[in-house]
Amino acid sequence: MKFWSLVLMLCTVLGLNAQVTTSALSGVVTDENDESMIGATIQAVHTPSGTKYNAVTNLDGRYTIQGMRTGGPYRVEVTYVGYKPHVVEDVVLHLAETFILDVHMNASANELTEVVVSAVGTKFVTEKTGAATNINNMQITALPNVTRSLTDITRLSPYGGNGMSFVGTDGRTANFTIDGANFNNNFGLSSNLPGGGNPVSIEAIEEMQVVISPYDVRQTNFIGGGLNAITKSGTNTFRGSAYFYHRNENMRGDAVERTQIGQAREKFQVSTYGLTLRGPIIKDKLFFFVNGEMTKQPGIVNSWVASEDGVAIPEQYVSRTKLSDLARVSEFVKNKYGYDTGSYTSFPADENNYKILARLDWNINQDHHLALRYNYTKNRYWQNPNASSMDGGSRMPSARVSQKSFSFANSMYGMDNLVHSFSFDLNSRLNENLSNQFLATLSKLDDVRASNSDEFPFIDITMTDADGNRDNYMALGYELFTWNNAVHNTIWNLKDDITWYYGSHKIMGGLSFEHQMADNQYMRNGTGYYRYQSVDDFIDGAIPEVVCLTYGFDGETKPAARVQFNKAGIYAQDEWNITRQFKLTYGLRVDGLFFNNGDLVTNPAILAIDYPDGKGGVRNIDTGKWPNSNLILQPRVGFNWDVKGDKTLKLRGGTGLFSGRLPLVFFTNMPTNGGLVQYQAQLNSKNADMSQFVGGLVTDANGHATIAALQQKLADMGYPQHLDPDLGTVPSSISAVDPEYKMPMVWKSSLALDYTFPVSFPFSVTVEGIYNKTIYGTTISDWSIPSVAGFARFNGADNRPIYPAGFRTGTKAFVLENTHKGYGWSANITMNARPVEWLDLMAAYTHVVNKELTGMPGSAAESAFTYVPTSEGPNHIKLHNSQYVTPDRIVVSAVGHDKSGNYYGLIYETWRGGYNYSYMMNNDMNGDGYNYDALYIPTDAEVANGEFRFVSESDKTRFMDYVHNNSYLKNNQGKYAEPYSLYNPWVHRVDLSYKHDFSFNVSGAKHTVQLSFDVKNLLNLFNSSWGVSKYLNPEIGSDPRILKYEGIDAQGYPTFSTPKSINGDIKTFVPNKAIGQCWSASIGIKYIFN
Amino acid sequence: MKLRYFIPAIIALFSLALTSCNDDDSATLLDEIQLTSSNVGIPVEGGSTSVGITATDTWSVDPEEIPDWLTVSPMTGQAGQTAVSFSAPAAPDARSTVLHIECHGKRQTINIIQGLPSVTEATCAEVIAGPESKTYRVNGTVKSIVNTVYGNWYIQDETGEVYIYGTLDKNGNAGQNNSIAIWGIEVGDIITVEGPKTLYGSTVELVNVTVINIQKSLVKVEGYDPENATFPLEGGDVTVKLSCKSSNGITVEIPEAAKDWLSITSINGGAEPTVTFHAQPNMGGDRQTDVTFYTTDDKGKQYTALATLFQKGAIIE
Repeated sequence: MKFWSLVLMLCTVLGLNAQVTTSALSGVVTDENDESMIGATIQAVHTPSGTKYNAVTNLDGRYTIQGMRTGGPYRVEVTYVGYKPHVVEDVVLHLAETFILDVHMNASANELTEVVVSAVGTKFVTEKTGAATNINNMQITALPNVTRSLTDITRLSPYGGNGMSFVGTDGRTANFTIDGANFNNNFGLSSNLPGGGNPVSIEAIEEMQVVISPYDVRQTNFIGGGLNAITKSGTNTFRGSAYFYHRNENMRGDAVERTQIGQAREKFQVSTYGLTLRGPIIKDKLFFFVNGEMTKQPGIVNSWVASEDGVAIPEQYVSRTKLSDLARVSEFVKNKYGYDTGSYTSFPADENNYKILARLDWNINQDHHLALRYNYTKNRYWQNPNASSMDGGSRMPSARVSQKSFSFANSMYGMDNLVHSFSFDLNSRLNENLSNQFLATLSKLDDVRASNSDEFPFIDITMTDADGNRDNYMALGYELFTWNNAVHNTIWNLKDDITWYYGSHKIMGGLSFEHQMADNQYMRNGTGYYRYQSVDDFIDGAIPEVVCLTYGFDGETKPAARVQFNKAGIYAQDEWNITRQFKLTYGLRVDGLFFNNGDLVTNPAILAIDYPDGKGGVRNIDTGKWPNSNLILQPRVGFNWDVKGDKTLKLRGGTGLFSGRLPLVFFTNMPTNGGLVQYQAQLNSKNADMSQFVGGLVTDANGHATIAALQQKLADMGYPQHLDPDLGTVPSSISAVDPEYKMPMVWKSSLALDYTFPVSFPFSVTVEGIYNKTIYGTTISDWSIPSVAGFARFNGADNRPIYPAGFRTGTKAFVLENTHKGYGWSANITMNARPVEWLDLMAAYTHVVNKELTGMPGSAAESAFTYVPTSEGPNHIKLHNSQYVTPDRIVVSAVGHDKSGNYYGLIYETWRGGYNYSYMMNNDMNGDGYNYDALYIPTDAEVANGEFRFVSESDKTRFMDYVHNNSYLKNNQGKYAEPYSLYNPWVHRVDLSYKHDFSFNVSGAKHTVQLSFDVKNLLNLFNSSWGVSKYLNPEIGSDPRILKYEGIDAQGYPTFSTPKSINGDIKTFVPNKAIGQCWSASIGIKYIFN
Repeated sequence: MKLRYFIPAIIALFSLALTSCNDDDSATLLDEIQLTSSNVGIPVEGGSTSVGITATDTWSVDPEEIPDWLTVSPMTGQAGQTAVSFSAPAAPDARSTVLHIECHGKRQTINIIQGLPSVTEATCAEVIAGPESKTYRVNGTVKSIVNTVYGNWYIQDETGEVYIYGTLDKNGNAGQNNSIAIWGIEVGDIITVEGPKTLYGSTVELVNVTVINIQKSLVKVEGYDPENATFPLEGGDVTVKLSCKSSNGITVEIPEAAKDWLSITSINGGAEPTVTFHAQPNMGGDRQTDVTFYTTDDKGKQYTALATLFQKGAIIE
């Protein structure tokens, strides 16, 4: 019999066990006298697949089952001699969470009748130690998601809302795992996840979890947040689906504030086709799941066309390059060198994305369960050849494809983002008290440039016009930055966790080993480069102006800057249920990080440079050494206290050390800039005998212009072929890593209160605070800049230092170092409710503060830290608001799936500070050579007293009027403006999704057609002024540089002028009239079998 | 039982963490020595200015650094607070100097200025040798113009040449601003520009310069006959038409490398002088050369104009 039970049957979800690929079930079995029952048998069956799990209660009456398949519904049966069997149905397990199922048994004379209850419909209380958000399959399906991207789903976390950036940290440092395998953007050259941004289709995802401060020592590798996902598995029923999603240029807005946006209606189309299939191979034992998906985005990368007559018409995108010249050159290289330039009229540049995923779940026996998963993703898009960069000469003003110049189809380059990943997950129950998980994963994440061209040098042909202006005219060949341009990132990971249940303790220990390799191949001019001064010069074989080739030493054809390291870890943790109401989790993780120096070569010329260390001594840079090995200790403590004993009021929290990652590009910058990875030959008349190249391109015996032929020619001319460290010269700027550098680490502490309202449906509120203190942060310092202590300073209110001419003590040297400065905190209030069974409501407000020295944006050492606005120069950055912070955010969501086949998804988000800016000077006031000088905001008194002087009354009035009208400036008078602290105003967005299933049964199988409609930024659909972010008024500029330094006066006081556009009336923020601010929609149709 | 102490412990932990955050906004100064002002102005008409020194140890000013016109009193002192006066007589021209005060091994810079400082001019050689990121003002001649849209050209003086990468228009904007046409810059003009130095690879550039001053060249190339300035393959004549505002006539220079095939047959003077060149028959490949025209003004200052002459060759590749 089934009946709703009012008995002490509490379904709570406890603790983040951080078995990030499975779930667990645990609880206490008591008898009618509330005494623990020892030896009761529990069997849990995952109904769709028939997977069975067993356990027996211990001396405390407690049972735990680990490594269980996530999802459900499960049927849990508890039996004991002399008692009615107790059955609970509809138990649904969530990823990485333990479902607490306490059972109270009733003695019965009649053992044959069972007590059957359902887990659904009882009070829903979320209970954890740290901050985390689970997102289940229904929510993933119902959530509005026009672009079908994984990171759009993270908006449901109160700490998300900005892709992979959580709690105001750099998105590249978050940890993203799928089935335990690492899918991070480890290298960090771009800000996308691997595979072009979506390594796996959302159709293949079963459940996701955003973790912010898990006190379980098994969750590591991030500072801000982590995202864990698991893929779908097969069950005993064959199921499949075929789907199609589409959006195009007519399914989006084209105006902001009724102003048409140019190019809004240009052809744009994204179509996604896919299918999934799952089912049993052997009933109850072996299951499979496969997903294949393809996304096509037709596009053109080149809007220009060649001209008939040599006259450019920029408004019609006609280039001056003549069709006849293009034909002539194309014919010529085909006949002389056997090279096909590709078309000069058609430039197909479709973006394609292919994904395939296959998973096998094997219930080997009752005690061992294995999951195997493989996936492959390839994303390819095309680009025009590089605009105008080249080596060995002066760059031309215009781009290679522009009104002045034109190119060929085979000179385009493609970008392939590739993902191969494999995961092996074995969960075993060794005996009553011991269970084990063995996880082995391999991820190979590569971003490789591609080209349709054969191996052939890149040729620039310039032309001087009648006015004497020289500019690019034509370009052909293998794109000059594409040969061997790739980032390869391979990570493999082995870990084993063993769990021992001992009374009220759950003790866990484990070992893990990770090997990671990242390399950056970047060969400028890898196939050779020639520049000629006219088409005739090229065809007639005149002497070229420039010849370049980059090649590896000692016959190495794929030279790369590489970093490799091994991380070995050991950890132990205890989850101790001290009382039924109080649980304490404590543990320690120790990792050893070992870099491999075998990939580096010391550059003796760099090592010889003595840099003053500020204490009277010198220090030197060795480009042959990675940071020393070090031990990373991560102790953590968490607790969960059921204050009243009835699970209605919980206090939870914890504290611990969290170690994270730094994008590896900042490491490979060292060998890349050391100059000993490859040889870059750049020849012109100033340094070489160019007459050696008369008569055309250098060819091999067959008349082909190969790399080997050009390299041989250079060898004959005396260019070095063998790696000799003494070849090392000092580059124009040096990148290095401090030997004592340690990976970023923070100390996080959090405290939260969960309260469940005494109403008939699940309704709870959580108030949570998290505080971080930086233990090891990352910064860069330029060793060639001396400390400003002792510099002369300006007089008056703005007394920043004055850098003397020639202040550098040597070549610029950007060294990656640690800092202890930095802290942050966040406050969050979240409400969850499930007023009816099929609808989940959530509302959250989060305020985030995060202060750091630098967010390390981009990938080049110099720009990572010299572009932070300062008053004292880049070695003296003051703690400031991080550029990754969105200070305030409110999110409200309603997600539901009712019994009539409707899926509803609505998200309302509003946030402030999606864009942030820094108030700066117009010019370099302190003389450090960087035009990133923070603005000093004078007080009215300082201006009146002559402590802050303007060149004229008008400048003073306009500037101070602007200050008084701007809330940030008004509230910060008397201080230097803090970087990234001018926040744009609130923007409101509503996204909506509606799907409907039309189902019908035919001969025992269920067929469903699902139609879906998703709209992003619905408000903008109704009114083109709504839902639009405001950005910095372009009349002010792209950065708010509102004051110009005009030199010192006779008393040594600096004087200032105000740019013409700044006055009391100008608006700082105006609507951003860009296509991304308008609404967009997608439609979809899916056929589902069963 | 133990739980009673647990909550206070957590709160204590939080307050410890909160107080350990330090916001270091203060200026970076030496511990050993601090000044009330380090950018000292002495009145142009003569006088003295006083600066307060706070030092932790004995301090001194290096007497070698003090120029003749400046008096510093006192030049050394003990730990503690001292007032130092800097005095100078009336200044004929604006002048400035840099001194260092040394204390316990550390040096504090102090700039002394008398009169409004003017921007120092540098020669091209000084720009090439000087540090990057510094703004230089250079006076020289326009040697050649590379691009009229962005304003890219070469400036040269007796010491060398520097590439100008971008010229600001009259509103101070860079980019595609037709600055050459706006300012009327031509080859041979004497020009003063100011801008920061950048090293692009090995090329020394002044980027996005402001034009301070232009003096038009007194001699200018107006045209050619034949119009393409090209000699026929079998040898022949090309006439260059000029305009000259100087009454001192023009002189012509043919580069050494071209002297074996190029010669002058006639020069006609006046306000619109013409120069006729003769080229020998060309047995080799295409060739060209740049000839320079000079004139001087009454003060002896030289102005130039440039012309490029071409000749087709007999050899075809």
